[in-house]
Amino acid sequence: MTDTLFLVEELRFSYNKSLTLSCDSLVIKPSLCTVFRGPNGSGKTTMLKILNNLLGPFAGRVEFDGQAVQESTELRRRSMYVHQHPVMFASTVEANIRHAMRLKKFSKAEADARLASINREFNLDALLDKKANRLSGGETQRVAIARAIACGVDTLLFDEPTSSMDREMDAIIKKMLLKLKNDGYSIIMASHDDELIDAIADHVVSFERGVCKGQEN
Amino acid sequence: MSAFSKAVALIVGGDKSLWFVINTSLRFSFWSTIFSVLPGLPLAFMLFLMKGRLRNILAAIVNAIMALPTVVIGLFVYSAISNRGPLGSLKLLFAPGGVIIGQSLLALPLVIAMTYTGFQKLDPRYHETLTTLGAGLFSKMAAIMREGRYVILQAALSAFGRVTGEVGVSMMLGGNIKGYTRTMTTSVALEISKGEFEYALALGLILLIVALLINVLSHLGIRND
Repeated sequence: MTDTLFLVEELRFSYNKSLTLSCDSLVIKPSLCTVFRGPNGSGKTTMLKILNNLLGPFAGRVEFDGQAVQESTELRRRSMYVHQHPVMFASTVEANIRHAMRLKKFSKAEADARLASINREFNLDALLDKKANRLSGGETQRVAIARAIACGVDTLLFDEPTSSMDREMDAIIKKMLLKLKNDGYSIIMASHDDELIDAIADHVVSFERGVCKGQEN
Repeated sequence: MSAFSKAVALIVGGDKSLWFVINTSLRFSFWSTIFSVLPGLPLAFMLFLMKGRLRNILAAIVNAIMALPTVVIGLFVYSAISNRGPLGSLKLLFAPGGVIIGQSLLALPLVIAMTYTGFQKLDPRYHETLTTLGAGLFSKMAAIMREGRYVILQAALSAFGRVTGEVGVSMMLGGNIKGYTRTMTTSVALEISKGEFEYALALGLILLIVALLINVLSHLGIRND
């Protein structure tokens, strides 16, 4: 693993022929928490999706661990993007997590062990048998994070993970994120939540009107 | 006794030749639907995955083919399966196989267009979630089809309705042979020309019931979606 997790150079992304995002240079280090901050529509989500190769094509260079994201074999194995409002498939929470692990080619025994471990770590007992697409926003976010961890990734890209949540769920998600950071996960996150940013961020990258303005510690 | 009462009597009385035609027609429609859905789903999925201008062009072509008259499709298939055609040796003309091929091709663009449009209406986050989870092409297809199962059901029902109600393909490729390739619609055309109005009306009533059933099932599908 290199000491640069993501490298962005001269990125230009256009949607419907209008320039949506530009970023001259950005370096994201592993095992740290980098937060993208900026008003709505400033390009934070677009940048997260480009980093996870969910959006394209674009001009410039975006690398994950030394390889272009479009060609990286490691990107899908080691990183996962979690939506602001994650989607679950029409089955139980357990089936959703197992389905994700099957896609990551874990054996049945390995998946059983991982599910038990995730269950212990995130206390999912009460949710496992529930229909995943009928959970509340906070519960869905919790399950989406657990699903990502179950898949064995080390890099998590979150889009506004604590937006529109009640106080109790907000506290639970923040605790989860803090734990992930302390466990050494690389976290890249778009957020407006100052309390969360103060608690977790190592670096903050500002976005304004589709331009990545640079980084502060 | 009015024509309508006689038609109902034919249905309820279990007229052998009438029910044979109904059975033949529904059997052809069933297999045509299967053979249009099987290639139609992956083709719709490939169209769904495509990006840019090529996708729009292909979608426009599929929609244009959907509007082709049945006799045109019948004509193309006729030229392929007639004795002089490339598939002439298979002896499919004026046989059930020929009708089923023609009807499948007739329903195929409908299945592709309906499924593709339905997939497009699915929440885009499904596709992104599958991608970020590292799903391969077949896993993605399976998951998207599972989420869009009611869209697929509606497309299949529409395909069934389309082929059950068509007359051009069945007439051209099946030849309306009694007890072999005679379907409800070709039979209606023949019986009307013979002046057997009650028999035609009985088949018309069955076609109406089939259409109503398809609509009810489609609406149930929409409600569950």
